[in-house]
Amino acid sequence: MRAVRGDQQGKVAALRVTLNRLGTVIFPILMGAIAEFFGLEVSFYVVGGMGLLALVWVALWAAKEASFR
Amino acid sequence: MPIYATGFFNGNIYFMTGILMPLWAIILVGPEEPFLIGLIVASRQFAPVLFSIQGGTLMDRFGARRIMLALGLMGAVTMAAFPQFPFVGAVMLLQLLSGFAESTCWIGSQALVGSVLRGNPVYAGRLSFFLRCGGFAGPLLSGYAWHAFGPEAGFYFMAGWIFCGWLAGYLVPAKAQPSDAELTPKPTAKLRDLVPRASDYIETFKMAFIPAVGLMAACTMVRQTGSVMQVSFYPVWLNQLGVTAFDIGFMVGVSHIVSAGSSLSVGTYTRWVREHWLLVATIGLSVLFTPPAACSRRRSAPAGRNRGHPASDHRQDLYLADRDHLPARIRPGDQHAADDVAQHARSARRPAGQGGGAAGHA
Repeated sequence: MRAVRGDQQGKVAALRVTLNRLGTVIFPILMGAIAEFFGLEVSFYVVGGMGLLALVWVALWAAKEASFR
Repeated sequence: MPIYATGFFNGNIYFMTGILMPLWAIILVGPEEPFLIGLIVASRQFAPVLFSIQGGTLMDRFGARRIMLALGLMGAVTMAAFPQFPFVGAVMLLQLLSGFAESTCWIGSQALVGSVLRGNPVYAGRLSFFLRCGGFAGPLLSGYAWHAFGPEAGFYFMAGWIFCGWLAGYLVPAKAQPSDAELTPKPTAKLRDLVPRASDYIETFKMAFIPAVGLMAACTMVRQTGSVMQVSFYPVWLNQLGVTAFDIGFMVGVSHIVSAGSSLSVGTYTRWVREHWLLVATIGLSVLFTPPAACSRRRSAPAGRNRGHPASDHRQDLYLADRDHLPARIRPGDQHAADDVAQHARSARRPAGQGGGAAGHA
């Protein structure tokens, strides 16, 4: 929140809420679809694995990003 | 005090519905329809995804409190309507309305509280404390209402909870709302102001190119892979194992108490670890532990007293009370609790005066 101006705080908060809720839309449907074919347990591992892979990508990007050094 | 009460009531509806809605979806469509369950759960977030930015823009134009009070009432009414319309189409429509009301009220509550308290860390700490207290009490009490008195009671309790949040917002003293005047350059609402503008959305999404905002955005999405499990299929999973809504609510509540401690310790951690790495590391842990915590229960459950996975069992105990300490009614394999819920569902689905039939899938 410190990275943006005071008059942009509302929009940044709205952006975070939008993405937060977007994940809440995508992942239950994805988990349900995976569970439909492969079972509920598999859906936990697949979505969890996707999250970890995405996190590795984020970590690599953050390590290269100059503004975080 | 009303300001803290808004945090207590408004900040935890997401988690409470995260317990009740998957259980309600099981009752309506049965556990053998996981895709439909996922769709029902996800439909709550369709409107917030599309209109959160518009909601924030409206608050800037007409005042956060005004928008929050209007949608708070809608949230309470729609929540009370769930047991009256136990049909998939109606539930998804109610989810749309209720979800939009809930998310906008929460944004409004933050805006109102943030502007009134002026970022004072002491007050913000107190607000966080009340928020976490609500996070403990809300899921616990809603789960208890559901388990003890049936799904209808669970939804009516939720409606009452949302109404209390509305009341708290209403009771915020007028003198403590300078933000409303500041945030309301145009006091009269015109119909065209309600129409979303592309320019507002473009401006907002462009902010994601700011590195710090981009990191926040990416981490938000990644975090959802773990947390969404806990408010969608994790309750479904636990319910299939015979764990009651009350106990699921208790576990969610306990996680909030733990979160309260974690929130207070963030300042200490940032002395040793840079903020963005702390964010990445903690989100990684949450994603890493959620699937095994959910699925390890299944491996040990059919074996009864088999304690062949001590590490797994230990981790389970972080999330779940030890099975041996739980009442017999919720032990894995005991169908009593599930049957109990199904019986409530049949009662809820049965039209007045009808003696029987109308059996649910659950």
